[in-house]
Amino acid sequence: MKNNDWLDEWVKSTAIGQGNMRVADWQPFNIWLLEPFVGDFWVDKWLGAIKKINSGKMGLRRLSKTVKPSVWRKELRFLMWSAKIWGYDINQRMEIASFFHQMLCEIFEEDKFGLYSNKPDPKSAYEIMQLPFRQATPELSKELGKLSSSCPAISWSLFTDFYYSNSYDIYGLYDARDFFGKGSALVIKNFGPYVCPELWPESRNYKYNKITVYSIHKKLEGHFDIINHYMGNDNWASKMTHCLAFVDGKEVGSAKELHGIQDYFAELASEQFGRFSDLSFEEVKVKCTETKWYQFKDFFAALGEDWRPPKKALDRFGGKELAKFEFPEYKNEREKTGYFMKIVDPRKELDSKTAQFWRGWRKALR
Amino acid sequence: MMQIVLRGIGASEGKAKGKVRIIESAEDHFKFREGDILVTKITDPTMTVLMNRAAAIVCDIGGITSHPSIVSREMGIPCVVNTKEATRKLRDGMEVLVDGKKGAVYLM
Repeated sequence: MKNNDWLDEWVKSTAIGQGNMRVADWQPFNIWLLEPFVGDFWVDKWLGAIKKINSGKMGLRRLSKTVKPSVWRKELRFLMWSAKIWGYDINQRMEIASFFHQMLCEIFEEDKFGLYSNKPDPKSAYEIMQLPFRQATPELSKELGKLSSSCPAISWSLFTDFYYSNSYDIYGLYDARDFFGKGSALVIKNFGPYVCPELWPESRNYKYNKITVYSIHKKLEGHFDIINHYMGNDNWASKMTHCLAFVDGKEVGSAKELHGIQDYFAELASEQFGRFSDLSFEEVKVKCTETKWYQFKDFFAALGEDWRPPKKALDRFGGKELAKFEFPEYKNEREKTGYFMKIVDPRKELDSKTAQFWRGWRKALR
Repeated sequence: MMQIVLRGIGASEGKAKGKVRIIESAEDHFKFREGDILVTKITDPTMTVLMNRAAAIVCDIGGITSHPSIVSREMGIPCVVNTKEATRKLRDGMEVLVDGKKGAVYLM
């Protein structure tokens, strides 16, 4: 890609992905309103990390693999939001955006920003297609569908609705016609790791930690967006022709055994979400922030740094309500996408009304 | 002749008939039976067990990327979100048909 064409693609893809969601429906609140509280600490941490990487001999590929592909893609929008709110200049914003682009270039050969797919490592996917897949019976499809329902629920319960990609990443659609016939596509689901004692000590006792599901589907009509959401209303279970599931590295091929595992996760999700729901508003703010930073635990460990947010960052929102900022009422999807394009584009400033609000908010914060 | 009672966004295709069960909190879980239609404002992880037993899901709010939409596509059951008033218009025990392609709920 020439010059900054990648930036146009990133901005477009992110704004579309964000536009596909309804922030008003997010639970327990709109995270865009909490992010700014610690935004400057977060931006500084990244600028420091990039400086360290540029002055050392860190392997970029190794660093890129310390974080889930969807987490790289999703986090940059929040960084840009915070950087603008806290007045970081265009060079600093570009430095961060370029670094994230570099990381994604290490992971993806094509469509790095998930405009229409989420396909890291196509060579590995091609090898996966040659594994001894099982024929998808209605029972297997049903149980795998339920497992794929229970797993995101536990991710949400552990890592919140905003950062659940830390244990939920779906890749595809990989063209599988060479092995399964025309119109076939491979989908790879990586669920977990769920054991995260730094955030939830109870997770030490979980029976399972990582689930991988490979499935072949016929004639899926949708695609993935940058947020790792499938855009389409296909019935995945009925379109599944072949499958292969692994639980902590061991293949599980019987519907009965899968039923037991998905049942366990469904109960666990309910129990864990109960724990999350019992947190006070003050605790939720801390938990969300810790969870956000935790996503990059291995990345910062590779740099010899701790992942945890500093106490003074957490202290900043102590006893405070979320910012009262209201996103504009959009007349249509185009307007909504346009608004978010301006927010996430490192080359552009916030519109005057948005900028004015956040200037006042920062002043009041002091 | 079926009467249309709700329209929303069709988030997972397919059709399913069943009895409406309105779920507002964990206390409502006991009344849910295999094959019921899960009707709620928006699903959350505490409802996973119910979702795995539901014939279809209908929500007041949500979009194509919301939790109920993602989960219902995985399980291959119909789902209609953003009906705005499902929990207000429907009552426990009503027999309905959910059309996840058209984004519509019909009274049987």
